[in-house]
Amino acid sequence: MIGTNAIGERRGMTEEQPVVFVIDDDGMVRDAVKDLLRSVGLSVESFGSAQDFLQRRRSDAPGCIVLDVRLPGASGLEFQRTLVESGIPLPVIFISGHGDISMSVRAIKSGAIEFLTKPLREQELLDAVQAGIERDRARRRQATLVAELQERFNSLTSREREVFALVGTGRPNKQIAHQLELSEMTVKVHRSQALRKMRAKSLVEVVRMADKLGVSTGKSEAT
Amino acid sequence: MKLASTDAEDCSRAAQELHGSERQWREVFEHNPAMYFMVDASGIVLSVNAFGASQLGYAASELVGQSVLNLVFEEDDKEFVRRKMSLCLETPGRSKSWEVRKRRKDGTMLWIRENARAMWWSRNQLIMLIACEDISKRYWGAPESAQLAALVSSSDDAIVSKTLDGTITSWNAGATNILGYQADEMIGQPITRIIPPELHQEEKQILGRLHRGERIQHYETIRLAKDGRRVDISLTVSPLFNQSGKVVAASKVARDITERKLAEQALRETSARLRTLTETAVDGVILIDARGVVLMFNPACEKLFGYSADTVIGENVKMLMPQPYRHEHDRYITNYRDTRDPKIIGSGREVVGLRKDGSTFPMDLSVGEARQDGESIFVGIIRDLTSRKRTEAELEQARAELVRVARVTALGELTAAIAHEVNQPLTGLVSSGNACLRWLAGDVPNLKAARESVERMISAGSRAGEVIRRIRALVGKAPPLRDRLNINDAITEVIALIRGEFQRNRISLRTKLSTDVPLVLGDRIQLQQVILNLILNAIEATSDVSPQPRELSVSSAKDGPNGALVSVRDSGTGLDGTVLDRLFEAFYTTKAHGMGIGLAVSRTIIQAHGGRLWAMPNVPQGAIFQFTLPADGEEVS
Repeated sequence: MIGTNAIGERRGMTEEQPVVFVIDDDGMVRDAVKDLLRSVGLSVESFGSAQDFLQRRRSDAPGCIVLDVRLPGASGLEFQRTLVESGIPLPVIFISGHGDISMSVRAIKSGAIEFLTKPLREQELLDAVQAGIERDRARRRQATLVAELQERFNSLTSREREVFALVGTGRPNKQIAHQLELSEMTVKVHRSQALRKMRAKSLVEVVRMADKLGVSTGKSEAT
Repeated sequence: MKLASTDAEDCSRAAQELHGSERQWREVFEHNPAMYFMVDASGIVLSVNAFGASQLGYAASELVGQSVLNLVFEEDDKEFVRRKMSLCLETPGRSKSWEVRKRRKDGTMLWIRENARAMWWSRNQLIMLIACEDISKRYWGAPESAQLAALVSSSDDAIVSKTLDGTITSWNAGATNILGYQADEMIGQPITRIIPPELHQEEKQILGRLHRGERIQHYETIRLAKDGRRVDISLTVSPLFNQSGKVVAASKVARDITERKLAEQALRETSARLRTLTETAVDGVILIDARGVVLMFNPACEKLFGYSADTVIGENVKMLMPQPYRHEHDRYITNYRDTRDPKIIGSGREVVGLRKDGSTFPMDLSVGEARQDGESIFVGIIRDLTSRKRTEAELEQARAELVRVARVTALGELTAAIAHEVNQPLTGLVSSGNACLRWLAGDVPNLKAARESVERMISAGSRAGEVIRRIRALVGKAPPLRDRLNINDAITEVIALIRGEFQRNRISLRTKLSTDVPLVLGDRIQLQQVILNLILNAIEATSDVSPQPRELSVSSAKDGPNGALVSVRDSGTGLDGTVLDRLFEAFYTTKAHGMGIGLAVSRTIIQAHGGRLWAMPNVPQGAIFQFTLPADGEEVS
């Protein structure tokens, strides 16, 4: 699903040790959940409140949040929104004292991985945490890829970017030349330069890259 | 026999002829209760019966030989009698009658009606037989004419006499007062001057009746005063007889009844207004006399009770009451008459009415008392409370529902709180247990971590235990308040709080609170919760028993030397053995909607107060719940 060749070189970097963030105001529950997750080899960072989580330095690693829905202060659901707004895209697993159906539905709709009731069933928690970590890893890979492509794209000249974007929409050189009021020869030069710098080996890859970068918009068509 | 005659020979012959039948005559004359005289043509008494003589105060022998003319009352009357007698002698065999005043031996007067007839005693001797009748009673006792005149002139009533052709012959001061005319203005005038033209016909009818000798009494009519006013009068007209008993004139007595007429008019208007008022009144209006007999029953009452006024009026008002009021109503009335203790008079109260169809309805009754002719009469104003009662019942039901929901909600919240409190350590326990297993399951078991997990498990377990202890403390142990309190007050307050429940479930409540119950030390609210719980349970159990007497009693008593005992007895469904054993277990219930918490909590509370709570069967049915509390001070030591 992702341009595999392009990110192969960075694989070592993305496969870093995941971290689970446990947020619960009840120290005993917090410690027990931390203990359980550590016993399966996960590294855990725990917090007594949402504020604590937002203020403290945290590891920048793939992971997920295990969150008690009944937090003092803002509720778990409100905190979930705060995370999105603050640009913290960590997946959330809710744990709750009651199986409140409407609350769990809202949580899942807002993107939570799972809504688990206490006392926790070990396997459900571990599965949910695993799923959360996987989802975060994927997100992070995607984010890393886009960042790399952006870096490459930034190294293009402005003319090369224009040509690359139009190639990404699948237009032939002749049409691009006409559109940019260049000779077809000149377009060919820009095109090969851009593809080399972007390390794109096929037209298909160019289209995908343009799409990820958000440059393959329909605006070229309009002009 | 002594005879006065000019011809002695004739007399002796007549005496001889009479001799044979004399005895027989005597018998007839002497024993007849009428006065009989036999007189000769000149009026000399030949014979008189004993009765006749005694009526005049004489012995017969004193009268024989005297002239009957000597027996008249006044000299003037002699001529009248002489004339009548000579008339009689001219027509022998025909009766004549007249009235005359006679003088008794003692000088008093007697009115006599005489029936006389002349007959031939012998060929040349005419005698008269006279039968006399005492008619004094037809004339007034014997007032002297001066007294009579004074009476007439001082009367407030108008007294007027007139001839039969309607000419006024006398006019007293009363007549002047009422009609304004002086006597000299009116005597000799036609009576029609004071009669309104449209009533002249009426006067003719009156005269017609007078001619027939009738008397007209209390005839209400109108007469004209001098100034033209029309005066309401009540008229009594009597015929005036002459001495021969013939109607010759009329006396009129007229009473001014203008004021009475005005009063009557006012009364008519008032009663018409009252009738309109009662007939259009929305509330029922009923009037009874002092014995309870219905005098008035307005249309609103007809509608309320379903009876027509005709049916109810004249009946005893009891018929509108169900038992036991019907039975006791007579006593209420008698009691009020005797003591004048106004239980209901002058105020209102809620009672029950009985309709014609036998159904009953709640009503508000206000009773007022009035006096009529010295007797009490009572006015009842009745307002139907059916719709208000229904609203009240609905409100009551809504309230009860609210209480139940609130109770369930509170319990739900409590359960949630307990669940959360227990869930936390449980979560810790399970999670740490799982962790522990994993620390041990590795190729190289991590014993240090496993030990830490187990330590966390132990601490979680302890915390769960602590939660349970806290809940216990919350309900029972160490109540926040310990006041000296009178358990009777606590009971009374609870009963006041739920009085509506008894009424709604039609349960009769008896309270027997002993005054020698010692003060106890405890938490008033918690103890009231226990009492409330026991009473509510009893009400619920009693309500399940349908037609049986629904009875509930709450009592207090001294327990032992210085404790208090509270009992709640019901006549409800009762308890069997198995139920008795498990009654106080938490979450055990025999009720369809019960939670099974109440009795367990109640027992916990009572035990926390140092007392005991237990149950036993009631006789003949139902259950008894009792609890004891130690007296103030006992538990502290």
